Amino acid sequence: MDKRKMIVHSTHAFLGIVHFISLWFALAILITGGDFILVIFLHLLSTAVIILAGFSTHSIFSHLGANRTAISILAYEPVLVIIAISAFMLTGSFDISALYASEVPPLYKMPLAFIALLLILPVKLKKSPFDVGEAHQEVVGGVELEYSGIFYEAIYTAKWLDYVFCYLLVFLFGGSNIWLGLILVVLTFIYINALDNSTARVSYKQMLRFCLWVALPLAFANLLLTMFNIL
Amino acid sequence: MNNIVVQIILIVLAPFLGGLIYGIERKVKARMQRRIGPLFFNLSMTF
Amino acid sequence: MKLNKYRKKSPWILHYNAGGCNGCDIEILACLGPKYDIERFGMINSGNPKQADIMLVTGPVTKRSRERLVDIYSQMPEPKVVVACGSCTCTGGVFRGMYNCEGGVDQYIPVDVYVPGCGCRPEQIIAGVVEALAKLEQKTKDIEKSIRLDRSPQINNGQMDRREIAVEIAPGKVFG
Repeated sequence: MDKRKMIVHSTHAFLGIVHFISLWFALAILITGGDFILVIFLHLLSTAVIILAGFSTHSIFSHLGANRTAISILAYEPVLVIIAISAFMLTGSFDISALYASEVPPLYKMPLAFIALLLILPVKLKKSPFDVGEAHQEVVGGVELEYSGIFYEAIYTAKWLDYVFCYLLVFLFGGSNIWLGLILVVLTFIYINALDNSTARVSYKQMLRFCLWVALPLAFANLLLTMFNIL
Repeated sequence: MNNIVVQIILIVLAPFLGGLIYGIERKVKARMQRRIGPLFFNLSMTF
Repeated sequence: MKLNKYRKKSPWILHYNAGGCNGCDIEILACLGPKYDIERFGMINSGNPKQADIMLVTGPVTKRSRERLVDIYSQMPEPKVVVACGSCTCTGGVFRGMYNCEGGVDQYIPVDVYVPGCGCRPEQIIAGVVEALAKLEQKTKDIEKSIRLDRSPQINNGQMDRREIAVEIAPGKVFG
């Protein structure tokens, strides 16, 4: 027997499950090699749904977490879109299967995009320098604060799916070379854990400034490099 | 990744794969902080 | 290994300071540190009552904090265990009988495990929490049990009246 379910209201619980399902759907499209823009849109939709759930309660900490999650979307979403456009410039289509099938690994063709992705991954995974969305002891728990019981299980499993999503994005840079992709995934895993343990949390303004002034110009520079076929 | 069977297996097993990654991450994080960390569970104990 | 018995579930801990001197809180934080690593049992210190299983209370319950204490306790979902850490929390300690607090946390919420000591040691806290895990497992089993009544509720004026029977239900009358 598990914990008793305590739900705030039925829409709140339903939005949590929609978050899980839409994230899984985005992951499925990413695995089967669908449209990159659609994947990014579905991931945004799942995050928007959880923000809506956070705003649907009366708890102030839930509102705070929803606000901060919205700000972190503002930080990482433009960079992801520009990485997708760079991939379009490289392969000629928005399909991810073209990236999976490319003979030259995309890492050699767009290295700056990979660095930009490394800079925004802590925001997406809620890791330490940029974990304003959760900030585990500071604001109580972010948007998932009001969930409990089996509905929290959906949110928690969605968090696991987010890990697979992010590491698959890293895996994409290996192209058809699976071993290069796996090495990249392992290196990114070690990098993110080391960063998580060695840095302190920054405020959300600093995070936004860093992402929009460092990661976004890097992605733009990579877009220009790929557009004029310099590398 | 172009084989349809591999894709379907990956999609179905994605939550378990994510859980595995999360568990390894908790362990690695604990070892980085010189702690022992959570042990890997015996699956037969959960039922 | 002896500890394997308690690794069945990973309980999440909620820590509440009911007006104490922060001595016991530091010891609880030491439990999370490298030497006495409480995450071996899968425990996470979550600051969220809706997802927590075990509530660690420290400090004598002052009159300012008792409303929050009862509030937080009532926000936790049902199989829940309360561990009182420290002498002040168990009995009132040196603050017993003062104007701003009454002795002990068990005057307000039901307590399952008492951990003594002024500045209770981390080993004692771990032993108390492991004791609480057994109680938690017992409580989760008790939820599944049904209560069999000796006589059926009477119907007065078309309404079922269970109040008299509810008085009779004692803890000994719970059957499996």
